Amino acid sequence: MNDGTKVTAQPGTGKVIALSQSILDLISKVVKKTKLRKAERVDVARELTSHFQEALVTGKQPDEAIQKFGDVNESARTLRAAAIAKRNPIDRALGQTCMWSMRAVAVLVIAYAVVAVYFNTQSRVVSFDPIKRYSDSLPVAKSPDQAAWTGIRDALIAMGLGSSDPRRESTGVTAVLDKPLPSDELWTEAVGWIAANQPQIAALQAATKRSIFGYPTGSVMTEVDRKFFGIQSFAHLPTEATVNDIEAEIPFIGLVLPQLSSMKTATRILATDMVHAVEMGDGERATRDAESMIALSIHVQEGRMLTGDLVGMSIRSMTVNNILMVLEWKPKIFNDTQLQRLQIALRSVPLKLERPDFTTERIMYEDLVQRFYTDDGHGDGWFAPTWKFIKVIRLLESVSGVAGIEKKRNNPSQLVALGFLAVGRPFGVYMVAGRKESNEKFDEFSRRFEGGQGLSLREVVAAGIQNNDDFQSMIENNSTRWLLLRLIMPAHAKVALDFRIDQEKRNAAVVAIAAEQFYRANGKWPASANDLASLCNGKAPHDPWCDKPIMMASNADGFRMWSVGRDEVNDQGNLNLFTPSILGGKTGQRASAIANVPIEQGQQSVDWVWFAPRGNTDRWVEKQ
Amino acid sequence: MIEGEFLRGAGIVAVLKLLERGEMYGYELVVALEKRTDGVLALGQSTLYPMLYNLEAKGFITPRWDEQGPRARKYYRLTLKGKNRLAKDSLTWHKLTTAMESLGFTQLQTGATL
Repeated sequence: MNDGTKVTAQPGTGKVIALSQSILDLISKVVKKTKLRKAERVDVARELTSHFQEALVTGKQPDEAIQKFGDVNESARTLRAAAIAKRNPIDRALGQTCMWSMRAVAVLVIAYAVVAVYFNTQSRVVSFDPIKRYSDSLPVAKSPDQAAWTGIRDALIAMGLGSSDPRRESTGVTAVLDKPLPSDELWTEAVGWIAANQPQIAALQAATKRSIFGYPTGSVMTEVDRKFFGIQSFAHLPTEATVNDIEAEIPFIGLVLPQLSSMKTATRILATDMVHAVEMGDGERATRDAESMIALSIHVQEGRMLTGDLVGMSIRSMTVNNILMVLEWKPKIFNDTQLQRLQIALRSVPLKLERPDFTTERIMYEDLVQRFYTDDGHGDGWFAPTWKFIKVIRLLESVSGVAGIEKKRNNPSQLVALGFLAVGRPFGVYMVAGRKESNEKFDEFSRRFEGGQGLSLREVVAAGIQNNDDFQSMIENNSTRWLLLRLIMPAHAKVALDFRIDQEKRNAAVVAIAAEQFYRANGKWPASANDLASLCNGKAPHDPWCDKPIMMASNADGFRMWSVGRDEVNDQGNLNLFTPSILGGKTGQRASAIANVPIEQGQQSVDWVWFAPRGNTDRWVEKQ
Repeated sequence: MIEGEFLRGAGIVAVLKLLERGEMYGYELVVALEKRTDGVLALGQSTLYPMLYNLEAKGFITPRWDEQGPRARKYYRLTLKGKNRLAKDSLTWHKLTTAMESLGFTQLQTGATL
């Protein structure tokens, strides 16, 4: 035994014999190379062990036995083939299927890896600064005196409304910002503050008349602005840490618009001042307040952005309500010239502000695209997210309407995005629309969402529902494909109606003033819409909901003029219907004052009463 | 010693023939083939075992492990199907040797001598 074989019995004795290490290695090698199943390998190993034991027992030397055994690789290969042939046909078929499947998977994995490497050679190109592009679109004041913002801000500072000014917390400020009416408890407190701040309010009114707003959105904030807003003004986004972490990557997300809140504050001051002026019999001051409020609303929409548009329309809504309330309460406070000035102010809103404009939203969208898509230089590219994408999604979902519309889908976008990042780019490229396709879809829906001009409100509602349904249907059918659109666009779908309502509310106030003018000229209220044609550019005013002449009637209760409202059911201009809380809005608010009370099947119908002079403010007081 | 496909074909018949007389284990078959054919049909051991597996897969032989002795052995025995196959192959070989003899190959050894 020249290789260490331990013989435990003489050949031919029928005793157990131990195999040398070289034989054991040979058996092990053959068995291993067969790559058979465990039970099959055990069987082969036992048989080969038996074979070599018998050989040694019959006097063979280990080297000789090994040599006579033959080629290890050939043996393993043929043993494997033979062992597989022994399996039952179904087993063999499954084995074959498994083997080919694994090969196919291997090929796919290799192909995927190759494609992934290729995609990773394609890079994202941040070709423009979205904030600069937006800032560059804003008008620039030649001097600080030309910009309304600085005058408005300075007036607010003079009133004690700077962030660190203790007067900001005074009861007078609290009362004024509550926008009380003379019958309210806070009125006395508010009047005191208003009377004490007349010079500052006059300065505020004067500032609103400047030609441009001039707030430097996106530019470096001046020290005066920074002090005015205070650091607290920047803490309204989800978490400061999140914003700080990603705003360098997605600068638009870190953009704050603190001026909007200040403009709403200024509007409430002017609205309260207007009521006070009326109570004091000062039609001129009340007119200036209304003119200033309209001017504020236009300024807020400078550098179009949906957020600013909504604030602007909210300011105009407050203005229209104030004008109508005063016309119904103390119409004589305004002389004829002042009535005309109010009409001019109501009509002064530029046409371009009467429709949605998603130019800025397009910049925001393009910025996301340039950061999450590759750029082939010809307007196309592939979805190539980074880990930052997850945080961006989380933030966008928290500030946009996307979470609301997708509750039933359990809001899966973060998981989807994580999935993309986990498996690499090719999967994302396959699942998410390409840059060009996504851009085209954004533009297609933007055009649809911006539409609605020349349509009746009924048609705008129908178009809005259709557009929204189409958009949501597209998203729900493939929310992954339209990932960015899903995050950016949901809030845009129905705003066309908001713009048209804004337009029609101002028109209602213009027609109400015309009715007052008719009364002054004729000593009676108009009997029909045709009576007002001469005061309304030669056209009888129409009900924007049903596109028929506006309804009007006089009886013992007084004159009233009304639209049939969204449900298009004529309730004869009933003033006493309240907004059911189920319809949303402010509980207790008179339905007659609301232009667009959402109506669902089977719910109470309401008319939108344009004008109902009663000598009081009851219609505008919320029911407690 | 003969090689290649011819050997494999003859080897199968030879193994079946050896098992006709009773069950045998692998090494026993190796030794018998070598000794009884004077090494002419000595199958490489790396060839024999796969051949046994194939014959088993085709149902010509069936194995059993004997654990009783000092060394475990795997015995193979002919099945009915194997017997039928052997009868058929024997006839073929007989015809072949007759044909070869008629051509003058008088010294030819046949499986019948096994």
